[in-house]
Amino acid sequence: MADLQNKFITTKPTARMMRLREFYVENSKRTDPVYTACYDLAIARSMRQTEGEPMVLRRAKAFAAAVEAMPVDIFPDEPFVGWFAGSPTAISVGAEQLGARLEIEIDHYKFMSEEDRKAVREEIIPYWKGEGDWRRHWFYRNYEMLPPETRNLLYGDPDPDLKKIGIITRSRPPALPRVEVKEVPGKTDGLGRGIINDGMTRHHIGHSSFGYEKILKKGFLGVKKDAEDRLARINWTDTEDLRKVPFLKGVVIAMDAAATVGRKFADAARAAARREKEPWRKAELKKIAAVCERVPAHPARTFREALQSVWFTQILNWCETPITYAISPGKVDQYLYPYYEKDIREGCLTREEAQELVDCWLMRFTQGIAPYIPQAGLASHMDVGGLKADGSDATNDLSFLFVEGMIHTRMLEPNFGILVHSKTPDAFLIKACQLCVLGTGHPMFLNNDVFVENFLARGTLGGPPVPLAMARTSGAIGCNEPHVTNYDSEFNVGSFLLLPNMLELALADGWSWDLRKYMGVRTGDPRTFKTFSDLQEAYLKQLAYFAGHCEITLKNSELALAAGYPTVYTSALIEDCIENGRTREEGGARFNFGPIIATAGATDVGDSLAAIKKLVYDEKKITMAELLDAMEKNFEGCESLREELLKAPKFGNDDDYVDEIVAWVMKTYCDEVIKHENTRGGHLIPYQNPLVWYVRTGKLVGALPSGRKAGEPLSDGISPTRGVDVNGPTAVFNSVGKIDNASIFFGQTLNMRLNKDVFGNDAGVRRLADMIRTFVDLKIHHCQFNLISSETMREAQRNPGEYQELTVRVAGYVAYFTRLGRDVQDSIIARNEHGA
Amino acid sequence: MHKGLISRVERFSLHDGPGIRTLIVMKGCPLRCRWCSSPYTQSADPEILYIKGRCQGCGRCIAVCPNQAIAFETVDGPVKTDRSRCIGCGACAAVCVNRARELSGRHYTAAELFREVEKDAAFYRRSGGGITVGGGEPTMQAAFVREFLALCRSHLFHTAMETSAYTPWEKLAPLLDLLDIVYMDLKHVDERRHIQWTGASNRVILENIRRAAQENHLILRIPVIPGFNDSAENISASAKFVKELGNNVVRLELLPYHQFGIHKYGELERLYPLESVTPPPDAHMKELRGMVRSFGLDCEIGG
Repeated sequence: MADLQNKFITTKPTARMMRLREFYVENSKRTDPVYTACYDLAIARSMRQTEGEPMVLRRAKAFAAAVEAMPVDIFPDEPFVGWFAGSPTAISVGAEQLGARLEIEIDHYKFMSEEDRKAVREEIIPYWKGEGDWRRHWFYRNYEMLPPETRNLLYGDPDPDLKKIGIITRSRPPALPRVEVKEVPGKTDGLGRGIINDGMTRHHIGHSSFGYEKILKKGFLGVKKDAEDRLARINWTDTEDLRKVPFLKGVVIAMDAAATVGRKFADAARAAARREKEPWRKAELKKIAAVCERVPAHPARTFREALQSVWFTQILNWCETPITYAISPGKVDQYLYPYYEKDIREGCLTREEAQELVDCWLMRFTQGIAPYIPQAGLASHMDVGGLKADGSDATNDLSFLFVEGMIHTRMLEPNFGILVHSKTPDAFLIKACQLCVLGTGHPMFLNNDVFVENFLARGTLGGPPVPLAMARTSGAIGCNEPHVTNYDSEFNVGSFLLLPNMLELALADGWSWDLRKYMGVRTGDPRTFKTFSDLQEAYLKQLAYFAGHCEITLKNSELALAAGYPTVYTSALIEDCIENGRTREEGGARFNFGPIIATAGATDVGDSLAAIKKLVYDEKKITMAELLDAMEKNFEGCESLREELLKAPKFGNDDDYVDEIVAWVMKTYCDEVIKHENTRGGHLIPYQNPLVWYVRTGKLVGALPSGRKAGEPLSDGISPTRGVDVNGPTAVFNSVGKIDNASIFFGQTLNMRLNKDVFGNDAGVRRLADMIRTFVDLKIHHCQFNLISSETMREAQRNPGEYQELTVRVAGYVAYFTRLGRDVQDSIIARNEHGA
Repeated sequence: MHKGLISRVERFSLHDGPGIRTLIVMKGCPLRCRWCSSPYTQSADPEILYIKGRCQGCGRCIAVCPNQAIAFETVDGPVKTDRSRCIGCGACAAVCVNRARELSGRHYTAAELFREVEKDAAFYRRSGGGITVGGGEPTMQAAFVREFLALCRSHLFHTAMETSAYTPWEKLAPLLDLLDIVYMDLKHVDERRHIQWTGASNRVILENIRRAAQENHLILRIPVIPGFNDSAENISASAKFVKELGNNVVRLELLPYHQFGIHKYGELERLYPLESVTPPPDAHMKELRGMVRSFGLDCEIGG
């Protein structure tokens, strides 16, 4: 591995970069993050002081208070300054998102100052808790307004008298770092489980790529001026215009606050320079001071200023929403290129210096929260390559520098993608494949040609059309979700609805295997279904029923969020919120796609339907009654029937019989989701990327007609069920290519394992590049690879201490292997290794 | 219309010609090389493979066998097949729910086989890959192979064939003009040794190589088997022979002996004939490669 890496690098990593890398790696070996309450405290105090004012102004003031509280420490060796939560090791508590759960968790945080712990207990919790029920929490309102039927589908309990409102916020939010808490009945339990999982409960949206370029070009003071100009155009007798005023005033406050960050760090850097003995570092600290004096208040002029400006723009999000995910710098090689090019042209920067800056900058994304959420990933997504507005290839020298940077750094984050398309140059694709065969899990490959189709198609849903130029220049966020850069208030949070549940309900007349009661539509006894299409119809009825309730809960969540936690900083950076005078939560952005109805298990449903079609209806080898009986027994005593099911065609083998059924499952799911509208003038959006939950949610699904036993993991995104793809990687690609990938608007995940011995060499790189070309031809949305052998992973299970740096692709993100749960580790090992 | 007997169709094959390829493994071989790593391609009839580890001892195979060729080895334990009675009908494989029994050998028409290989056309196009016919000895089914290759050629697929060259020239020649690349084995230059280790003389092989080299691009392969053909003397003599063939020889490949095929003998319930031989050390392979290169020949280790 070290050999390969040395072979592929074009610039040797500098000694300083290696020191920093070691520092970050050591940091990430702690078992728990260091919690800080600085932002949470500032926000809670500010919110207490502003009670009674318009919410959007209160949020602007809370943001300003958090910026004021930002620690301004400067750490050794770093050429860029500022951290998500004040230091390389810290993460915020995220009190407002955690809710009542915080009251329990606070005792279990291993690393936290006593001062902060006291602040959480004595100020932060009492504020949000209010008179006892956490009524200030936006989820309180959310729950209060839901109809009982929807509550039942969400929590398995209609609770018509709001008896459960006291415990609503006790459930664990889906993507915060795991804290080991001993579960105490009556104290730690949250709401129950239904069929719909509501992912919009208590984590803010994040999930966008916005504003970096704007701040580079005009600085925060420039955006402040935009808001002032808009205010100057307010027609004070126009009712609609009057509604815009609080937000616009809030933007002025927020942008003013954001602009102060640079000056604070400039002062700190100057002070540090005075103390510094090392001449090179003294000079650099002065440089840092000069950079921060300029950005992010004003436009950037140099590559260094540009990188620092983007970083500030990134971390300021956490002052508004402490802990948010998938806020993504996006197409970094494009908007940073003019600064790089100018510096190189003018001779004030060498390529080697630029490489070191890129390396050090990339590593900043890996710290803080990233190592502690193996179930999801922080997902600061970046893309390189791609297309220009005119449809030509956008690859530039900086694209190569970023890939080189990923080879140098080899860390969890950023979540790094290559936008490939039919015009991607060979040299760049080869470079990307070299990074890939190193086996760190980076990069993912994203099909830019499919992205363009995707964006253009979204524009036909009813909202404003997405222009061709914008479709070409946009990339992905988070794991691999296509996102209209700068213009899209994409709500890639929402409901999670398992397609295998829909099939279970259709096969049981609406009865839930997991909850042991009727939850779905009474679609009839499947033993009476005469044809396969009767079953399909029942399945679609279940899907439509639950999607309808997803719409209810999502609309309600959107309204609760808009009323309780509108963002000002974020909204100011998304176009056209300032012009429209509305926050993203109120639909101020040009595009308002989402929330999602996310799913998992389309492959399981497709494999199951194929087995039923073949064995029950086509060949009549088994009856529906026998099948249902065997499933109820989890196939115990029905081994031969199960073997028949397992022998039925399985997705991933380039077999039209089953592939067409999986394509039908995906198409009907996408068609159903986009029927539903949101509150912001947009539509709900389909998404199949289950993160690590393909394992956990699998425990809630009974035996399936595919032969899968109860409780086993579901398929991971659109990847074939582990181990059933026996015709090699070309067959997997062909199968996935039969699905209409472009219509899955927020994308889906295809994970594959490749054999290191076959691909970890020049010929292997070439072969991989050929495969990626074909992947583009086949119009597949996304793919990503692991090249860690099963032996290595098993060895890491036995000796986790020696494999702390081993990284693997899980779903749409990269995680430390040894931090994953054993069940997830096993599921990765069980994926078929191609080329072996 | 001819039907071909195919052991298996291997997609995403990377070692049998340029690019991403589909390898057609043909049944039947006239040689019995002691080191053979694909013994299930030797017989020209369908054969049953038995993967003992998967067998649950359910006995379904015993019940369906029309020739009573299968019996329990121990009660409820694994089964044993009397290979002299087995006709390779595949009835047992069809009922085996544990996939412990597989039929090696399926009949395809050229059109059927073409439909299979066409599936990966998108990958051939991007990788400069194509179709390779190997085996076994493909020329044993020359008429079928010719029909299949003609079909591939008519679709402009890149074609390659791996042959032992142990075949009458009349069978080989009609295939050669349908091939972009031909792989031929040069197992030993000494006739006596060749007979000892493969069961056949090398005369016709050497003659076929000479004739093919006049018109076709050839890649010659020496499977390097310690104790058989890995002496400096034989490798030099082989290189000398190749050198005299002229410019149509693209390169000579030295394929180090490996033992990956051992378990396949088990699946055929046969004994592995070469237990005591171990793979040649890297250093030795490099030495041999140096020797070949000293003749001014392009030489690589591995395919």
